[in-house]
Amino acid sequence: MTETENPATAQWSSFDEFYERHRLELYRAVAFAVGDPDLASEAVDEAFTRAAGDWSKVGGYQVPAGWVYRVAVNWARSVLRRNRYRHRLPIADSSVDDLPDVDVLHEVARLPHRQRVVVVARYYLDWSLADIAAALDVPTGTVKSRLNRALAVLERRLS
Amino acid sequence: MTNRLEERLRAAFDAADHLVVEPSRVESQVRRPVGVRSGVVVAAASAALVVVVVGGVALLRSDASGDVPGEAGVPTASTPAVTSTAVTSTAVTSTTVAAPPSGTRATIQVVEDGDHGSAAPRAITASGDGFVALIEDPTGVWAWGSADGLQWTRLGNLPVESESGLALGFAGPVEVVQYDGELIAAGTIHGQTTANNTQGTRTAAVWRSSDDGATWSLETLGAGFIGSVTETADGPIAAGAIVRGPGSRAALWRLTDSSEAIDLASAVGTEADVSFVRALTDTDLGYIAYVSTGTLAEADKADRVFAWISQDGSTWSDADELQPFGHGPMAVWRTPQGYFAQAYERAALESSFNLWSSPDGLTWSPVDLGVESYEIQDLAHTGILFAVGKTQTMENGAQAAFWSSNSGIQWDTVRPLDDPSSVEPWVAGESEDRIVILGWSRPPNGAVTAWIFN
Repeated sequence: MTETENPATAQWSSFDEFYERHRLELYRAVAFAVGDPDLASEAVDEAFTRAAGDWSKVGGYQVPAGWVYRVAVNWARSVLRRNRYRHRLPIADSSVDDLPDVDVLHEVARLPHRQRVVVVARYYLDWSLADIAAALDVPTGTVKSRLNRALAVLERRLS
Repeated sequence: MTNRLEERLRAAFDAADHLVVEPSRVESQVRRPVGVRSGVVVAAASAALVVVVVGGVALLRSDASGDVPGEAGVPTASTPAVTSTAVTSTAVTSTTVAAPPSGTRATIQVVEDGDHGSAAPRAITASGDGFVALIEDPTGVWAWGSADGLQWTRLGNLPVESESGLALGFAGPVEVVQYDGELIAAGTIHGQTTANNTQGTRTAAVWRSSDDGATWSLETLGAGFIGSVTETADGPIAAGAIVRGPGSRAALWRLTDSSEAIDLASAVGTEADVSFVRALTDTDLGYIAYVSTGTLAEADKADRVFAWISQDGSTWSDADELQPFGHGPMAVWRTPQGYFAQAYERAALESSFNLWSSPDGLTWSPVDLGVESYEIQDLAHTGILFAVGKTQTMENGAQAAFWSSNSGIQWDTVRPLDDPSSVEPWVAGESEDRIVILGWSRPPNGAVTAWIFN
């Protein structure tokens, strides 16, 4: 059997494509969600490693990128739990002034973790509510309620 | 208005996108998974991978395992047992750890000389890579930590002294949760009774600790009591009442910033002298608070439970629905299988069951666990539901009991590996790969019993 005919190799190719397609986008999403660029980098690597280790299963999920997002965010959060921390923008201070509407991002950073994760998935990753629900393994209604509450808070704080 | 906000959010993320630069990430340092071949994980990851074998079923976990729900830690019967090898960029590491079989039990000797005091578990939560529990002994309430759920170490004490050093009473935490890098416990500090106050002083209290549970600080919330804590999308919320003179007023406290009570009784406009929140749940539409109300003359008969409803947590209305629940302990859990409540039936002189289910948190039906008489103490959910409590029969008296369910409708009895009498499961906590239950022994022997189930 040549390498290209080997199912394991085919899996490998599929994962590779998935990795190339989603790595940067998911890194940035996790950075927005957890507020720590270094940790986001480690978290995304950790999540992709786990995905690679079980790609035959993860690759079959409705939203494999959602699985990686969830694992990365939860992994980062478990690390953050060991230390008190303040969420911050994953952007160099020198660049913040260049942003036209940075208040929005600051307020997103102040949201409770679970609301923030949904907001980033919806407005940065542009995922549907159903995809977010599948990614986070929660009912769609839960995603809606987290999103509605986040928007209500943002509306109030930004008005 | 919201559409405008949504546009702002998308625009803000778009503008910031290219500014989120991965620190120190150059190609030579990319720790990229490079492939999967025949069940062998070849990874250039910083963390060594550990294969945990449970009864021939392999769970792939990282030694830096995070709070990963769902598939990451779910046993997959189709996975070949122990064929994975982890390769790091610097070394090859392959570790096999045999996890204790599901249903294993261990004894935690909390009080060394059991004749001189009892111990009781009050609350448990997953924390970091393990669990933290609050256990009461004759010296107070202490946090205990465990990596596996079976071997426990005593950590820090929950203080009961005010800032001036005055002891306020004894600690009665009802729940501990983990939120944004903190452990948060909440409950009531019970003070001494006096001639004028036969109930004793009650102070609503929150204790906070960093994730290690070693050092706790006390924040008192004024005269009041807290009966439950609910983890909501807005963070943990404590429910109970503000004590005003001889009466009480239903109240909530947001534990994310705590301190300021939300006076539900005022928000609803009730004229009752006595009201308190027995339990709270969040829903897709907002919150439901399960509130008992009554008059001072019949304060101990405040055994009706009403549902008070709010969309935003600030504005509340008194719903029409009268719950079938009466007095006694009450808890409500929101799960993917619906809402479940631990509550006693109001109409019954002696309830033979106390677990209910509901599709909406408002209309409730008793849950049939397949036994004539049972009493649930706690419910864990990890995708499946796991109820812990006891059964009561004429022949055997009270027996520790465990049930699991995928649907929330059909329940199966789960047997521990051995069945100690005189131990009552009390609290249950869940992590990604196991459920840990703590129980107390009767008669008191200074020990707490721990079970784990996978």
